[in-house]
Amino acid sequence: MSSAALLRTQIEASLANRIPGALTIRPALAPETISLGIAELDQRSVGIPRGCLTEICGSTSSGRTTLLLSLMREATQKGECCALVDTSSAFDPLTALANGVNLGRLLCVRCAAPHPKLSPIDKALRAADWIISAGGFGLIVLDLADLETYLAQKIPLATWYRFQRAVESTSSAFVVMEKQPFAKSCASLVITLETRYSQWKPTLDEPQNPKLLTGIGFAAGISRSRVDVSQRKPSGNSTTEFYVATSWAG
Amino acid sequence: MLFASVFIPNFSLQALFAKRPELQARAIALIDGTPPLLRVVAANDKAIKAGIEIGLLKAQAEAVGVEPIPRSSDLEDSVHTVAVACARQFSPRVQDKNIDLIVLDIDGLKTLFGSPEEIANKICFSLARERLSVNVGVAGNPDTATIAARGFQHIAVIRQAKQIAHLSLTLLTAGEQELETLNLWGITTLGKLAALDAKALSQRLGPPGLVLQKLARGQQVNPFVPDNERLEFREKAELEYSVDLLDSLSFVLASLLERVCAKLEEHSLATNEIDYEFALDPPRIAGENLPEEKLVYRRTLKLSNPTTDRKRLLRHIQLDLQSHPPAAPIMAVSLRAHAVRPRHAQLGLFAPQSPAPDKLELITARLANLAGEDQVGRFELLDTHRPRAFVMAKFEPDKASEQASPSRGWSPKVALRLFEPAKRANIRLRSDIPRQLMFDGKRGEVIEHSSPWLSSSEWWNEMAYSRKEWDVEVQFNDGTRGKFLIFVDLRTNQSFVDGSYD
Repeated sequence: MSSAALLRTQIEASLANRIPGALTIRPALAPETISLGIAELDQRSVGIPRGCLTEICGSTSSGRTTLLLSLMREATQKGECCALVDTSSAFDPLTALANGVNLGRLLCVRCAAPHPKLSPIDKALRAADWIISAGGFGLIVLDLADLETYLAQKIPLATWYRFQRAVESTSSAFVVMEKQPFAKSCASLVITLETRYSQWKPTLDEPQNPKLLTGIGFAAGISRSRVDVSQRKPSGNSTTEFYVATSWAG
Repeated sequence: MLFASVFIPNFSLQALFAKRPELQARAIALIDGTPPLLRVVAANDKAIKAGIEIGLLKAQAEAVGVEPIPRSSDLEDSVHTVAVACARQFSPRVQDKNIDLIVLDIDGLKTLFGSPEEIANKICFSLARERLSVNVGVAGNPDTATIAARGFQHIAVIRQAKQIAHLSLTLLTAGEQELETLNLWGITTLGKLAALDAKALSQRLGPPGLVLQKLARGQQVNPFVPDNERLEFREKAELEYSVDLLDSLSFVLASLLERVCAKLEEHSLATNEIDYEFALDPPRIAGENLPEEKLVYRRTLKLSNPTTDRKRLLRHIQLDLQSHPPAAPIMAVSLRAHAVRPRHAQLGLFAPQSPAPDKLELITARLANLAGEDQVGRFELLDTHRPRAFVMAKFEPDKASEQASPSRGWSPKVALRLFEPAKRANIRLRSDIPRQLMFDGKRGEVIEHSSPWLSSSEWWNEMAYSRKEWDVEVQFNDGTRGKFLIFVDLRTNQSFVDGSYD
């Protein structure tokens, strides 16, 4: 045994009663996660980590809102409170109800209404800051999905750092929904979504009947993850496909 | 039973000196009456030495160099209120018998305040801090305690009737005619009256004579009826200069809230509703009579959780004032708190996390101030088929009903993102089939579509709607694709994009 190893053993032995394993590096614990509520993703153990900043990215119709509502359902059905900062007032409560979200546990701040001094994005960032500081919410969502990319890029990196620092000492999961990832290294998990196909079926399966949109197939990929401590970088093919039906298709 | 009677001798003068202590050094005569017949009703020792007597005219008092001061009933009332409040610090059972006389039930207070002498001493000390010199009589019934308070200086504890035997009959306030008769008989002390034969006294003076004798023998005649305490938590402040800045006003509000909350805490109460009222100083034209709503600004602040947290209440008022500022500078501020019992919540170790009610209320108020009151809260769906039929209601997670939803076999549904408001669009239709869609400066070909869906309702009111909807998948010229809900308003024949499926 080398002298350094011997010294280390002696120090640890002398401190064993007070600090067990004083000089041993402890393995980092994976943060607790909220299930996404989509079977295909749950099977791959993809969850939204608490105390971290998560980004859900994708273009229009890529399934971001569907994923978010499923996440909200999981949180509210457990009795947790959720907060949604809706920059463009795009949230549809009827769809949320169809997705099983308990609207009584969802605090929503709609920021699209005109303000004499503040733009919707300014209001949204302030509101998110206050809600994180207040604590007690299991899930906090900042919806920037309809925000133009050039506007979202103007948000200083310091803001994302502040959010990350504020949320890391809490048990809240902070989710930002946007077109592209903007939080850079502040995000612990980045989920990228895209549409694979859409299903239009004639009613009663008769070809001559008029068609209905019955469902959409999405693909979710993890482009950044610092949640899984054993696997720092996402594997090459980490895309998961899942199909979501429309509420009228049954 | 044990009662203490607090008597404030020369109440009018003491009330004056309690409020204006600088006058004690001067010869003062209190005057009262209808001008010009203003007469002296009370005078201090210096004025009496100067030759002042009760009943002299104001001019006569001035002639001997005594300063006449008009008697103020408002001042006396305020001092009396202070004296009653002091008495209530010792016992909740207080009878306010007269402006200068308060009776307390002090039975059972030994463990809190000590012996009857100690209680009497503490009452005297408490009132001395308010610059009032009082006599306290303690006895087994309120009548004897009152006689002792009137008859003895400072403190007297009456355990036997003979202790009051040497006191003058004039201390008995009832039966003036009978007292005059007794005086003619040579009966001048309570002891002599007590010693008379009751039957003979009754034959000569009737029932009033017996009442007087009972009092002289140290027996109870009048029942003790404690007053119901009228708790009012109101504070007001008048400003020397009008204030138009919230920061300056906050100092005034903070001091008023401090006093109101301290008073609430004294009574183990809290508040969930505060009325505040500002006297305004609007610009006026001489001779113009402004309506009351321009002179007074009233607001009510309601909280779901009772509190006595001054900072929290002040922050709520500040946020309310930021959202609803008064129209003119403020000259006077008045606060009134509605008292309720504090609410204690039982928390669970294994219950899901939830925001603290106090913090949640404050954060909701701040958010409402930022985004607008009708833009913050929980969604409440309206009982109608009209699209976008919802309102924002107050967020109260404690009252949220448990929404049963199957955990197994449940699958998500495609979500719709609304455009707020719906975006104007140009839809090119061919045989009622959308072929091309233009909105937001983008043009796209419809590559897939559903059949039209007609909906209309509420034709009986101003919310009437009638629309033809399609779900479409559009391939835009820039290469992007999207699925949208588009509609044509059949009442105006205008086309819109309602939202996107996401």
